[in-house]
Amino acid sequence: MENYLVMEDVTKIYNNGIIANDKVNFSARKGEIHAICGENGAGKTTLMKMLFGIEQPDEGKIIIKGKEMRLNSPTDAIKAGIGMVHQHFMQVPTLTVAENVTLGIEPTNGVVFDMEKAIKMTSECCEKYGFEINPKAHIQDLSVGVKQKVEIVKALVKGCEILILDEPTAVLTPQETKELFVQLKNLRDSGCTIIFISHKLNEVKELCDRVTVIKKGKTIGVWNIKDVTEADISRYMVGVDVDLDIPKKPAEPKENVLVVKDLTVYNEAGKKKVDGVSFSVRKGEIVGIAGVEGNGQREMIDAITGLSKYSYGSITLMGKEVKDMDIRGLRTNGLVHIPEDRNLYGCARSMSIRDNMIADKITDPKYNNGIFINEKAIKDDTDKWVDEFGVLCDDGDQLVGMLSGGNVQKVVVAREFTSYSELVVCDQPTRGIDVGAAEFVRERMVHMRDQGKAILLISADLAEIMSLSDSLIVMHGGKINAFFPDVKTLTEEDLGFYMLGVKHMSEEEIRGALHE
Amino acid sequence: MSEKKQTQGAIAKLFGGMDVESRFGLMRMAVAIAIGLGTAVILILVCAKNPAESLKFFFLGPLQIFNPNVPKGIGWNYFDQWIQSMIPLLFTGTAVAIMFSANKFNLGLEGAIMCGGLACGWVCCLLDGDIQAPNANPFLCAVIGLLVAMAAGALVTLIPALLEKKWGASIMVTSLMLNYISLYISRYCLFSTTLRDTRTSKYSWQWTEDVVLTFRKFMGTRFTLRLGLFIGIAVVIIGWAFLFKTKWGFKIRQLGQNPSFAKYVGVGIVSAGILVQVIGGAIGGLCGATVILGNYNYYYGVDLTGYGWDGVTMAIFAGNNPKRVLPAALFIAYIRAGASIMATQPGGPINELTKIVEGVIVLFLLAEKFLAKTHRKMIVEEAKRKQALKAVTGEEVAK
Repeated sequence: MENYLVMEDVTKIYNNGIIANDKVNFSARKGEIHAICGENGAGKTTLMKMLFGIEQPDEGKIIIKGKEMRLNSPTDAIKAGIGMVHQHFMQVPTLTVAENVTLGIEPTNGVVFDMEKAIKMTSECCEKYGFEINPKAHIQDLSVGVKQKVEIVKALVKGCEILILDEPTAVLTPQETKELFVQLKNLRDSGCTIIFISHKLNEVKELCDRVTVIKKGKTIGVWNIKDVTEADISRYMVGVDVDLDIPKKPAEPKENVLVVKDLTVYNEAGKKKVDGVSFSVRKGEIVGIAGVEGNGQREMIDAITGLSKYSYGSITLMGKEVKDMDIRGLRTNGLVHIPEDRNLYGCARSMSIRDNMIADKITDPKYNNGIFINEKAIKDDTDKWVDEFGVLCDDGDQLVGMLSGGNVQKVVVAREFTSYSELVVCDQPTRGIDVGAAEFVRERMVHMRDQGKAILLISADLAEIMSLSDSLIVMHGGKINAFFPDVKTLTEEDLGFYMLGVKHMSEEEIRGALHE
Repeated sequence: MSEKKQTQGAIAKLFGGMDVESRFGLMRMAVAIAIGLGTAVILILVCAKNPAESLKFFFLGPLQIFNPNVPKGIGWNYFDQWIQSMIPLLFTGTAVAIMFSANKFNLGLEGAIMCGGLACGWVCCLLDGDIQAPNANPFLCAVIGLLVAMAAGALVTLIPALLEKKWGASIMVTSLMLNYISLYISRYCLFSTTLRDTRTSKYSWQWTEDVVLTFRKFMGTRFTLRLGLFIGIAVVIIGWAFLFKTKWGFKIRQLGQNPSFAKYVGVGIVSAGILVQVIGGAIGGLCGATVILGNYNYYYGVDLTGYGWDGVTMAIFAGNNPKRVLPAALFIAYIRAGASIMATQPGGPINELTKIVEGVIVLFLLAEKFLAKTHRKMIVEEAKRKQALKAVTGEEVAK
């Protein structure tokens, strides 16, 4: 069926005036895996949100099985046979798999929830499509890979015929990805249409039948996967070949800036998330931290950057113990921090670019006379930084909320990289921003390193972390599982084994992470 | 160029420099006010015995000094009603705007006003009461009264702030309860302490100087000079400068816009949160004292004043910016004075009408989805305009 699903001239404009989709055309056949490729911010997710009823198009039509549909909510979309697996799973961790799967269509024996029936529904669906999941297991005990399968089963059990997967492999190890692909191909063969959003081209090439490329909110074209190479798709996506080779000299590390010793962190639920981690970061080097999400990186970085407290061990910054310091104190001692969530921590969206750039420096005597702020000094410096960091905006008085993701990140980077710093913590510094902005941020990081700053980089983007880091720490289960003093010899596959905990390094090798 | 085109040009110029959001904000405000006043007109037409006369006094009551048919004395009296009802609005609007700017929904302003008035009244009685104490300099007495009132007001709003810091108690709930506690403290002091003038049932001793902050028939004119107005305007200006021109105000706004962000850039968010509430309460105390010293020569406080709630209305009107408290106060006080003047005319409807007008306007200002379609349309049009411009020039354009 050629026109099983058609989206015709679909336009979506967000409230901050950004045109996310501009007359996009997309169509999918029954029983195919169709990839949507595009850079971050190209409009893939927006397009899918409209198909799943989360957003409504300003213009254009959505036609499913020849019938024009108006999808006002996900409920409408589910009724129309559409299912979506989000980047962030929509699950209740304390409930069982069966309860999560049947959420919204709960079976009852007249009045109360019928657990037996829910388990039966779940296991029947799992059997039919070949998923191995225990319906009685609690979500919180499952690995990321299994959680994702639960998410897929959740859609299938509601009778979904069109399944949208939004960057499903971003959180998976290479091994889990392989397993997922086998199951997706089975699903396709049983007649399901799968829309696979990704910017990992090797996966697209391996898994999909056709590919639609979107660039800056517009459709570039649609191809049969066997007619195009990875390099072709990449060119369509960005116009030029992507080159992750960042020019950088060998590192010349000097004395320790950050020393973490036997750090242990319990989370609010009392679970041990970081378990006796020791390492150090020296002046003039970039230390990368890799690991599957949820293996303690988050808690460790929060402890280092003062966003939360830690339980045992010690963290010293420039020789000072930070346990009792507030964030003001940390910053005075040379910490700057690009946070993972730029909208939550990184900026105040309803304040101006100037206010955001100066936010941490307002107590600097340069910008106030003890009482009143010095507006001229602020204007002069922020104008300079807007230029230097290439923030695309009307002027510095524009609200940060009106900027695109990449430009918001540039504002964050501009603020942090212009403050007094010894240690630069970069937490997912290029997540969700366009290639141009990402390249810029990476170059600035190398620049900071060459100026003798100590850089701690956390990234889920393996290509990024392998090309930027001078040495690399791999975390698994709250511990350091591997330490590579030199990243050049490391392969992506090998890194995957350490991230997954299939391979372990000896205590001796791991101890190398702490330079004493 | 025709005159019409010129006007259009002027309007375009006026709005040209504004982004979509500001333009929409202004439009929304105008529509809300129009609906509110429209409601008033309908109610007057329905209820009033002489609608034409009532409408005239509602819309033009405070400006009757320009009407040759109204005796000058009465005209000035109407004008004074406008000024008089504006004074507390200046204080409360600024106080709430500052507290809400930090996202601290402390509703204890009412209590701060009561306690401020009480403290000031007590100080004046002690220093200058007609029986209790020898006459002191009335101005010195007023200044001390105002300062003590600020401290008392600050104390009232500080309590919910500390309770939140220590035990995480909801500021909104504790501050609301404190309003009633303040009221009962005030009643207790009036009924059961030496504050009460033993010759009356519910008034304090009088202080000798009539009404310290108000000069009727100022310098022999018909004009009533109210020093409270100047104190109020000063509070508005200082409040605005504090919030937008000082480093503390900057931190407070950061806290209000995004507390996680404020914490991350190193703002002491706990102390900043407490600071705004103390400032808000101090302004409230000052308001209570100004009202007492501007209108009475004794303390009288057996009922809630309602000024604290006015502050919330004002802050909504002003979008939490003290700069806009002045026009908002002028407007609200004007319709209040108008309604009250209208009500005193024979056959006029009751003056609670103004509450309906205010309620309707606030409703439409707070209703997030009000005019949402127009808002979307403006955004879409603006985005397309920018895109078209971009296509012509080939680059990102400003505005």
